[in-house]
Amino acid sequence: MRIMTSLSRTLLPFLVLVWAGALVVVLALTFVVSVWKGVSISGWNIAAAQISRWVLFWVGVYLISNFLSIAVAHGRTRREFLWQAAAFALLISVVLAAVTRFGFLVESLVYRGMDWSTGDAGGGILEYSLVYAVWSAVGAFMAASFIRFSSAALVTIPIGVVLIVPAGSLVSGANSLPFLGSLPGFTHGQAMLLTLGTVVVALGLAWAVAREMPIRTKAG
Amino acid sequence: MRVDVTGLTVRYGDVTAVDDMSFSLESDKIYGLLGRNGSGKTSLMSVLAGYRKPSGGTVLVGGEPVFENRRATAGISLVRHVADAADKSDKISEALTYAAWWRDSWDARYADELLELFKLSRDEKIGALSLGQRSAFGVTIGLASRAPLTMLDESHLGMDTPTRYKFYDALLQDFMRNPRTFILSTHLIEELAALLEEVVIIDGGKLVLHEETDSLRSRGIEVTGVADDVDGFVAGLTVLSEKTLGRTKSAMVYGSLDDEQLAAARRAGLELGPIALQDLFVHLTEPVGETR
Repeated sequence: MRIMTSLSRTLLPFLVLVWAGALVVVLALTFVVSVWKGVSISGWNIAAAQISRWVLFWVGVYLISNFLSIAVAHGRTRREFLWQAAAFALLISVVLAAVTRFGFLVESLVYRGMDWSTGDAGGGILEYSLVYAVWSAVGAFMAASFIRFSSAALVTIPIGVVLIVPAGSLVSGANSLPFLGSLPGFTHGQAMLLTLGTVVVALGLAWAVAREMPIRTKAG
Repeated sequence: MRVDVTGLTVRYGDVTAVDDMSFSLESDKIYGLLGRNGSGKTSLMSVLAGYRKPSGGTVLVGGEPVFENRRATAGISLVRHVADAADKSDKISEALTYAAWWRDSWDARYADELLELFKLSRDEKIGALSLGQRSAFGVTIGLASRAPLTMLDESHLGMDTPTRYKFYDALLQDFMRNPRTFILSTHLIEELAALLEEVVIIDGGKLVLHEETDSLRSRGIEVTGVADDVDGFVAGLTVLSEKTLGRTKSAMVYGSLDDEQLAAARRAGLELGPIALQDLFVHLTEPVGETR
């Protein structure tokens, strides 16, 4: 577990600090906005449902494009890196989901004190964990695809979109992007199971593509 | 660590970088891997290190297949470029931390000695290093890995001359203290020649020769003397290169001399010496039709 431990020591504190900093910035912006108009939505919900997913996508890309080549350069195999990186991605998804949930708690206390309304906001730790897990796994899959297949990997973009759609229905505010519609006809439980399935599929695809990914010489 | 390559082929689409190559390297020697640009050196070393899966053939290191086999890769270090083992945004100290975490054989104390030797600060960001400093850092990663098979792919070429000499000394001292298999790819052939026990020359993805350095040198002779005498002596022989200084001339001749020729050289007052490895390399990898 040396790889997972070192990834956790390197990235986990950094990302928790990013989340904490984002919470401070969002609350500050909310106070600024409140000068001109009444606050009727959760600022943290926008950050948690929209921006944070892309950060997790970047984590998946960074694991493959940066740490995989470093691990192989130090005599580690792709196999041992990938399974420990997958475990790390799941761990960080749960930890950041918990921090996200904590952010909602802090925000609700501030809003209550200021007599503001958060509107339809939030999501549970499990829901956010699944959202973050699938976005990081899709990021890893697409990074591995582009490194291994270059421009031919463009075909993986629609696959990635399909994989992240179910997760969008789990938390409020996540489906407001134009191409991400809701999932009609699915209960919340079914959407959770479907998203769990997409996490497994995305991790499987990342594994399949990265197992024989060449370590190319990086530009100096 | 012994290396056995059999029928190795590496293709990139329609391009064949390594073509049905076979050779074996014994343990605990310093090998030179020589080849022109595009000859397949980096592709060959990348496969030897498990950076890339071969298109065909087999590669065994220490008797083990390499690709995705931890028993083999744990004992292999390849430095093509410092960026493989570190991100440009990392500080040197962070890159060394990854090495300590992930390389079982990592020698942190020796890494510190090398940083001091090359005057590198642990606080510097790798992306901010000069080309020479990045080369020195890459060499540090390779030497301090203590990997039984350590390969340096032109990783010292960015260094200035004094730093290169420090590197050669460090390499030799480390090899004497911790014998292991080194494969060094370089274009600075004469500088490194004294360190190399055996030489592997490849060209166009194919093995040209694998030979002991001393034996390779005996394939040619440097003839030095008065220009007219040298010209007369080498007439009809394969001359690889010539240099003239005033009335004195030296000619690199490919092939060995028989007793009669040796006697003729002595009578003419010509000096005979070992040939420069670089001239032999140029000759052996010269495209057909361009032979001098």
